This record gives sequence, structure tokens and C-alpha cells, in this order.
Amino acid sequence: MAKALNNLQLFAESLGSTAEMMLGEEVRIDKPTVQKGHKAFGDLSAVIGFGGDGVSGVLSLRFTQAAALGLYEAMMGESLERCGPEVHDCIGEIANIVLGNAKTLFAARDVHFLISIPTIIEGPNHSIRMRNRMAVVDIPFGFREHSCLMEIALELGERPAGD
Amino acid sequence: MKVLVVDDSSTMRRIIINTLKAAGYSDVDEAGDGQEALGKVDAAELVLTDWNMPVMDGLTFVKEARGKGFDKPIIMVTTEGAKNEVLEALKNGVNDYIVKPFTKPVMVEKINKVLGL
Ligand SMILES: [Mg+2]
Repeated sequence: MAKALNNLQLFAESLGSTAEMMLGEEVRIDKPTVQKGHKAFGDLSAVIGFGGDGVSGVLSLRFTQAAALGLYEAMMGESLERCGPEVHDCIGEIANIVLGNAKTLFAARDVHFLISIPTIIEGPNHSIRMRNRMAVVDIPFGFREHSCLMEIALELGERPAGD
Repeated sequence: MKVLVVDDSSTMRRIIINTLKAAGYSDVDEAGDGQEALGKVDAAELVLTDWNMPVMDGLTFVKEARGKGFDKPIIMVTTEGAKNEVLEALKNGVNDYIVKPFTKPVMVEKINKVLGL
């Protein structure tokens, strides 16, 4: 688990560089903390699974409606009244790029995995239930006045990266 | 000059199309997966394609397009930035490679390069 936690840095690194480049503005990234129970947060989540020899799990990017709309506006230069298919696609693609770049960082350490296509979960203050044997870690992040959450669920008992 | 933009994300297609238009390429067509792109590729003089897409992925699309004789430049625009992936794409008929997220100047520079401008 300690080693698995070290690898979380790669997800945080990817989130930071990807989000700043796509938004064109500063993004705050907080320290990872291990989640206890199923955390209810936000209105929209973009969820992507990944799996391979070295590491498997699920990455979720979680937003309030206001944050998702703010993100869309920052990226596309257009403000929308409500979250529809454009916003769903937008947060899904950001999750895809964050995980894709993390995949490249892991590959440089000879840990390889494949990633799936994003799924969007919608609902006020929803929680996401991972399998029991997964460790779930929160990496809070933010931009402008918005607080968002990246959740990384990792399968336990697999070969840690870098070993 | 007609440019074909292939990506399953409508957000990414819009970002790429905006970049193309700002650089003076206004005749743009789009497709949401490789299968749809195969039906449109013959009219294109330049293709920008994603790799990870449902129905038909970008690498399969490139192989199929090259297989039926499409010989115009193809640029892969993808999150797949690891060396092995880049090499595999280049080996299968991709002319150049852009890793997402990209800046607009990088995209324009690569386009000009493959077009020999
Ligand atoms: Mg894609």
C-alpha cells in the first residue's frame, strides 16, 4: 500500500499538467488522502477503468455542476446554462487525457496498462462504490473558486510500480 | 484543402477544428470513430486522428486507409505518448504525432511540417 501510494504521485502529476494546459489557468492540487467509506461528492463524475500487469484500478474526476460548467467555459470559451452532452463529453475527455498521460508516466517506469472509454455518472451528491478490495484515494484539486476531486481506486495485492 | 478530424470526443474535435480554422484551414470534415472516417477519408488531403475510439480505433483506421491506397498525410493526435505507441503508429503509416494536451502552436507547426510548408 505504501508503494502503491507513491505511484499516486504520477496521477497527481498528470492531473496538474493536463488540467493547467487545457484550462490555460492555474490548478491547485492537494495532498492525497486514503478514503474511508464511500464519499458522496458533486453532481457529475467522469469514470475510467484501467488494467494491466503492474497496476489496475479506476480513475474518477468528480465535479459540482458549477465546477463542470466553469471548466467547460475555461476550456471552450463559451458559457452554458446547464450541464448537457457537451459538458459530459468535456469532463470525459479530460479524464481520458489525465489517465492517458499517467499511462505514459507509468510506462516510463515499465508499468503498463490499458485504459477504457469514459463513463459519466450524474446525480446530486452521489457516491461511487468500488470493489471492497480496492483502496480508494482522494486527490482534491481546484481552479478558480471551485473545489473538485480526483478519486483513484487501486487494486490491492498487485506488483507495485517501480519494483 | 480539406482536412478530416477524427475523434470520439466532440470537445476535442471542436478544439482541433478551432485551431485549424485559426490557422486558415476552414474546409474541415469530422468523424467520431475510425469506421465513419473510412467513409470520408478519400476526399481529405490531411487527416488528424485520435487513437482510442469506440467502433474502430485510430490505428486500425490508419491501416485500413493506407491499405486502400490513401496516401495523404495523417497525424495522430492522442494521449498515447509512450515510445512504443509512437513507434507503432509511425510504422503503420502515420506521418507525425501530437500528444494531448497540445498547444495550438505545436499543432500548427506539425501540420505545416507534414504538408511541407
Ligand atoms: Mg478518444
